[in-house]
Amino acid sequence: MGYTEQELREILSKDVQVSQQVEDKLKSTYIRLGEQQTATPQPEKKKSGKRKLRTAVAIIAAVILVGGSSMLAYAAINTDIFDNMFGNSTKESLPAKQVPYRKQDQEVGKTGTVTLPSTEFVEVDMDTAQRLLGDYLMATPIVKQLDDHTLTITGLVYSPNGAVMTFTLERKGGVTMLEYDDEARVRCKGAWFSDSTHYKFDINGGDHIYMDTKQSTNEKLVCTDYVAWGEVTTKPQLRILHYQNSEEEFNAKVKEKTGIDYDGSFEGVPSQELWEQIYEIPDEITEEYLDLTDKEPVPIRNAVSKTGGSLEISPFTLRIDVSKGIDVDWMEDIDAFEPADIDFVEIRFRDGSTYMVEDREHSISNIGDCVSKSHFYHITFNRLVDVDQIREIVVNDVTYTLQ
Amino acid sequence: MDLFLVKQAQNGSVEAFIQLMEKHKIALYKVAKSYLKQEEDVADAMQDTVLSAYEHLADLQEAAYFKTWLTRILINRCKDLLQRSKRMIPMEEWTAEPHSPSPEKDRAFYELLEELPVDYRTIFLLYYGAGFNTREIAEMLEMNENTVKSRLQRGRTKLEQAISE
Repeated sequence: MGYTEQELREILSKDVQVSQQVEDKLKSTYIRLGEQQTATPQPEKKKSGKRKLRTAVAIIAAVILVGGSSMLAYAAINTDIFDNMFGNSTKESLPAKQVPYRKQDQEVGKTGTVTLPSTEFVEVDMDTAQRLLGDYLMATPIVKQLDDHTLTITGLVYSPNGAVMTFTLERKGGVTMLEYDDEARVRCKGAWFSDSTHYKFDINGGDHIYMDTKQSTNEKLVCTDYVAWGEVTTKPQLRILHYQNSEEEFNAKVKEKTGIDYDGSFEGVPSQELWEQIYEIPDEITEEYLDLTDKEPVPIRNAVSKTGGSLEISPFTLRIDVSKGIDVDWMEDIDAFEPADIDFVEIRFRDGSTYMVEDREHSISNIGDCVSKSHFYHITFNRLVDVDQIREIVVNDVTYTLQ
Repeated sequence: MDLFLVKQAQNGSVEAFIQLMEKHKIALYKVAKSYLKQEEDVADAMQDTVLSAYEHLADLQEAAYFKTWLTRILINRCKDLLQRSKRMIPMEEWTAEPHSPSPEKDRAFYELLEELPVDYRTIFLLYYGAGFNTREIAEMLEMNENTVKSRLQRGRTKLEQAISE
């Protein structure tokens, strides 16, 4: 035979050069589509007309400039992902706000007030984002069916200390897996998994989900998950927990078996007999792990203080070693510190501008997520930081400079 | 990637649609070249395919079948063009008439294409080049799956004969 099967496959599957005539025709067709879209805005899309046009023109321009290079076309669509991660086109900054709360312990039954800190989102410079993160952005979106919900992970960047992931969650008839309210979706705990869901997911055990209500619809939620990891992580994985019973179903089964109203906790101390009855209820939980990306972590840089302190910083994460060079209240018995002792974090840039990450005294919190573990305090930012432009980082009253 | 982009495009994202087209451009080009000889016709067929796909994308119910659906549109456009212009090119003419010049690096591809009888060319391209299975090819070309299988078999034999001559 003239060709083996392998040779046929190799020759016929090989990329060939598309002629200039065809390239030109396709470019003019793309422009026509862009104009058509501008003339006939499509209501399903949640972005503003201006923004949509700008992005469409940008991608068409990218295609034309490089003769149809799909690489640049892909770079152009990254703008939406970077904006969802670190921008403010659709995010909502909130001022500080006092809210009432119910007191516990000795003062149970009484109410007090607590101040929710202000949160500010800022514009992201796309050239900077592409330069800092372009090589590290997850290349291929992941679609995962979770019963009748479709989870689509659209973007992910990570450093050894944290990650930012964009995703959508869709369900015909309305998403029921996640819940949120106007406050929590931006600050506090973020959006949370509902009592009716059989699935929960996180990235290596962490999550703080920002719900973008400007882009979301009843049937499609657009979210950004900010994660500060308590431990150095080099392999980001999506952990999917599958519950045999939803919270609601489990509570109903407890009531059916014991006759007691149960909402996750009992009043008083339950008897051994009661526990045994509950243990008899089948309630399997299975875990699945998905590798999210084969991209390298975004590099970190070290900074030190004259007091002997050190920290690690990347364009979106900060890891402060509180065991040295900084005065915090160390709790020997649990080998940890009080996170509230870190009450001021500011990044100062060479051009005189600043990023106030956290200022508890003035109720400012411009972070995506934070966690304390052992003698480290981890923060994931809600904006992008060009580390090369940093003059100094101030934590409480200690100044750190990059090495 | 396709699933994500198809959904984005179905939601009205022209950027996502263009990315899809760019992603499949070369595969479409090769299929068009298996039908049409003149570059002008190839360009027309691909433009018609892009416009038609954009117009009817909302009708595509299963995003997973996007590539099959898109290729089928192109094949229909190629056939339309051939019928309209009566430019059906028998194997002999396809080989004898001058081609649009092709880059040296693609010589093996075009030589193999020329060695294949015209009736077998697209089937070979879809099977070996694009990775479609015989059932998918049968659907795209609107023919019996057994016909696809037998043409693959006979095509190999004809290739062998053509080379030994």
